Amino acid sequence: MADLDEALVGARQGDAEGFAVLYRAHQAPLLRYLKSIVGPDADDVASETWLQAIRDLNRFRGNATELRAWLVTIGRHRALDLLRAQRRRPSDAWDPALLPETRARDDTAELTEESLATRRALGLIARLPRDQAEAVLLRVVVGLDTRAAAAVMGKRSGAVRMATSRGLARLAQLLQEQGVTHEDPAALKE
Amino acid sequence: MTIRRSRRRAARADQDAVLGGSLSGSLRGSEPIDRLLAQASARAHADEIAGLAAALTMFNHIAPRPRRNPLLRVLASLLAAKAIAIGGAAALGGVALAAAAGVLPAPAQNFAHDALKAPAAESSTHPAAQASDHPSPSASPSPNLIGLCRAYGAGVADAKGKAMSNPAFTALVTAAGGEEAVPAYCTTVLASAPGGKPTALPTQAQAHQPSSQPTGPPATHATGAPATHPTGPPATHPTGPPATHPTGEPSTHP
Repeated sequence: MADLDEALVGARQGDAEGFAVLYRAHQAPLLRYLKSIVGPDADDVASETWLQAIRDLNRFRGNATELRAWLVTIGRHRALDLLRAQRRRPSDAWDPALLPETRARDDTAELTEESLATRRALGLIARLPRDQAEAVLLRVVVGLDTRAAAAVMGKRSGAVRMATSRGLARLAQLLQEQGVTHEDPAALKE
Repeated sequence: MTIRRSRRRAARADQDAVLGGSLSGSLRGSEPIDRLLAQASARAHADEIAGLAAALTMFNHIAPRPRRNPLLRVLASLLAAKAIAIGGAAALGGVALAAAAGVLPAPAQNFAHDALKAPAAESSTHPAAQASDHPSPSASPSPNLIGLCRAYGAGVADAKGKAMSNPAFTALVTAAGGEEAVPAYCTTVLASAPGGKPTALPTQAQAHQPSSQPTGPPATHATGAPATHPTGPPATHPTGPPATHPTGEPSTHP
């Protein structure tokens, strides 16, 4: 984290290179987490998140590790704002029809196998009930501990731990079902 | 088989073994759930951080403060203040504002020459800066003093005391050698000023400049002949019909 700490100090002083380091480190986890909440709008929400983060960077007092939790907290607020603005009940965001589909974008052809695998994995996680998906993503993808994840979600640690467990159990079940119907992994990306 | 094991493990709510630092360690297993989590948390893919350039643009526009030269920001605000002051002076005819406009930016512009190394670009975005933008020749009074004298002359009849109390006139008072010496000093300054007769409303004349010579500034700056510049155009083109212009300065352009 030393590099990220250095980058954070630089970015606070207006150093664009430092900011780029932070962006490269945190954008993907942020984006993946946001996709689970707002689906295809995640790119826009991530941009808004960075905009607000840049504005408030001087007020952020944490270290590089805490920066990521701070970012996803901002992102979560912006995502929920968007959902409210769309007058969409948050649970509706979990309609699989609204989830980002790789084939809905034209850049699928340019994606690497690795990138497609990530999308498939995130797509599966996004099928979980929202609390479970959020908990799993914050713990696994964003890399927060239970306490930090609970702070982001505004829940007690116990609730987050429970949501994570149930989410993982449900994922295992989904994988099992997929394994039965799609033995060939290539079939999953079509 | 694996599903049952995973379930039991999940039910125990001690997922830290899977989720925490040992996540990568558990990847050696073939359990689909581990693979899934590894895929979900894989390093950033190119398409995910494709917005870096846009984010950097955003950062450069609104970042807390520039790291290289904090002076430039001060300078920019000074120039902006000047533009506002000139705009206000043109509108109101206020002597104090005009004086402020004439004198405030002088150090700023000197800095601009040194720090920005782009006087032409700077002055083209701040047209009003042209009159005082040139380094003054040592032989003649600085354009700022000329401008101050004009401002002083314009306001002396009704607001002399007020004008002289303006800090903006300090430079003029200093140059004249005292407040009471200002009228005589200014008479001399304005008589020797290029362009001859002083205009009553220098700020308005300045305000006309940008519209009457849209392509002028860069090339004339390069030659650096302030003797013809500061007061020339206003005197000859007070209202500036463009038709009269091509015979003038633009002839020096390619």
